Amino acid sequence: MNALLILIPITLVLAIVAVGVFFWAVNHAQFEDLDTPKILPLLDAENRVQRGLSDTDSEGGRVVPEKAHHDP
Amino acid sequence: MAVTAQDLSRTGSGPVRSERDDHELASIFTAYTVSATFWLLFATAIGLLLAFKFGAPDFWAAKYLTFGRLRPIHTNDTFYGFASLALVGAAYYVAARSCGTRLYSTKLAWIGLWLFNLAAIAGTIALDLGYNWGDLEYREWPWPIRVVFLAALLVTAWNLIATVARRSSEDIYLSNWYIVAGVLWTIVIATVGVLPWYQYGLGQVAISGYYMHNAVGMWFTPLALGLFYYAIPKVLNRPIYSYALGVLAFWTNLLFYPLLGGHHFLFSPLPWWLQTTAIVFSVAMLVPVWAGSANFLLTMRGRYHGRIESYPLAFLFVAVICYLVGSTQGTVEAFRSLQAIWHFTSFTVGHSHLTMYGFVAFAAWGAVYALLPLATGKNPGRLGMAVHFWLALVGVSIYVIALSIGGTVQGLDWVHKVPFIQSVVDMEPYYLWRGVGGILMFLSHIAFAWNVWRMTAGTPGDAASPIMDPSVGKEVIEREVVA
Repeated sequence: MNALLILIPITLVLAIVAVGVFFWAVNHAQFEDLDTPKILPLLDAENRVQRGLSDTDSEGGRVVPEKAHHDP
Repeated sequence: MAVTAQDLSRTGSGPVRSERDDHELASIFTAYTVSATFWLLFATAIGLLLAFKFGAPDFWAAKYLTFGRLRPIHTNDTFYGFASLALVGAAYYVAARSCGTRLYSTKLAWIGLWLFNLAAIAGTIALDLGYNWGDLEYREWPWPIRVVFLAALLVTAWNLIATVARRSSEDIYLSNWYIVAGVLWTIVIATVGVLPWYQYGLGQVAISGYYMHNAVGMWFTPLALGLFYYAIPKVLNRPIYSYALGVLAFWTNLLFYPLLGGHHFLFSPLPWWLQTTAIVFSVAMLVPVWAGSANFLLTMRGRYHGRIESYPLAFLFVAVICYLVGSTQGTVEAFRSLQAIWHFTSFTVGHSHLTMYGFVAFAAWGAVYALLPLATGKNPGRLGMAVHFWLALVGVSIYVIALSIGGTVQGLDWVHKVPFIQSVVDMEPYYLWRGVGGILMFLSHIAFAWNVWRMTAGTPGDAASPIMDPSVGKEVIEREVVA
């Protein structure tokens, strides 16, 4: 059972690291806005299949309104 | 800072990423997927042979083909050959894309690929020659080989973290939280698993419990969930139902998972309080599992007819259901009253296939079908995906149902202290069904290999773009950004 002497400290250190990362995330505004980030996967919306096959639109054709503002 | 329109307009375009970067990212994704496909075919061919050895133990009984040598080859190569490579390849793609940037280093990704493959090849040879740490599940490879695997993890972590650091929006998308956490945790686990201290007696049991469950739950699970959070919204062209719920699931997963490994050793000489701790955390895992599953299913709401139209979505749907069912089953199995029946039986093997195959492998396949065509510009054939999907689904269903029933019968036989041979006789039909399910699963992997060929080097097939209803996405983005 001496293994616990190594496993428990390791787990505690990791828990402290995890809490540290959590506070880093809070302080770096990762959780200020819990709605908008969900569209990040859709932003890369240029359809590579269509583009790759037709190879005409190398711009990516993504439209984001220029003046749109998000209020935190 | 939240995502602003300025961030958004930078994402995925401009100086942060060029056509050449796209091409290199596609090559990396392709190379990892092709390697993974090779290991899938090899490891499951071994698995199929093993399934039939239950019914015919004398079949191919030369020492290089004995059950004791082949079984760890099957498990290690599905874990560290197939699943790890398939998930890491897709994770590179997801990390770069969801951060709106290029991969930090293509070279590091290639080095990682070689190290992963080197470890798997050397490990396979060592195990077949009889060099192993036989009693340590999922770390049977001799320790120098596991150091190579650890090096591959370090290279991968470095590359992924540096990629996330290059992101073009302030927010780190959920997928990257899962992916980076998974890689970091696994480095810790692999280090603990390879350190020479306490590798004997009860200490070894405690470390083994810590290692073997976290190797599954802090490596494959977070990576697969990271892919879900990107691939499901991508395919449906609809954002995840609730980002906040995903954040909750992530942090509770991180908090609860690392302490439940001991539930593999209930009724063992490990201290009773340690076993109880593991059970408590097994129950706590219902929070992230149900939160995550609900989130994915609610994202798919109203689009269920789409599963039939879109095979990438069908794979992801099955993966989500198996994540929900398999993980909940895991919690239930951790109860002492049920563990008393199921411990050491084939039920556990059914559980591990429900989770590693139904959840992790289907998630990897779903991610490959959803994302690889976007990277390479080549779609597979619809028929090829259909054959893969249905053979794999029917195969794993037969396999899991047979072993769940058979394992319960086996356990009850032992509890009722009937002669041991009776439990062997009782298992015979279930072992046969296990082999039947295994054949279908293996055949499906040949279809997968064919589909990978068509998505990469071969002639593209007739399947539609994995992204369903492309027009919807643009409206969603406009609505969300303006709102």
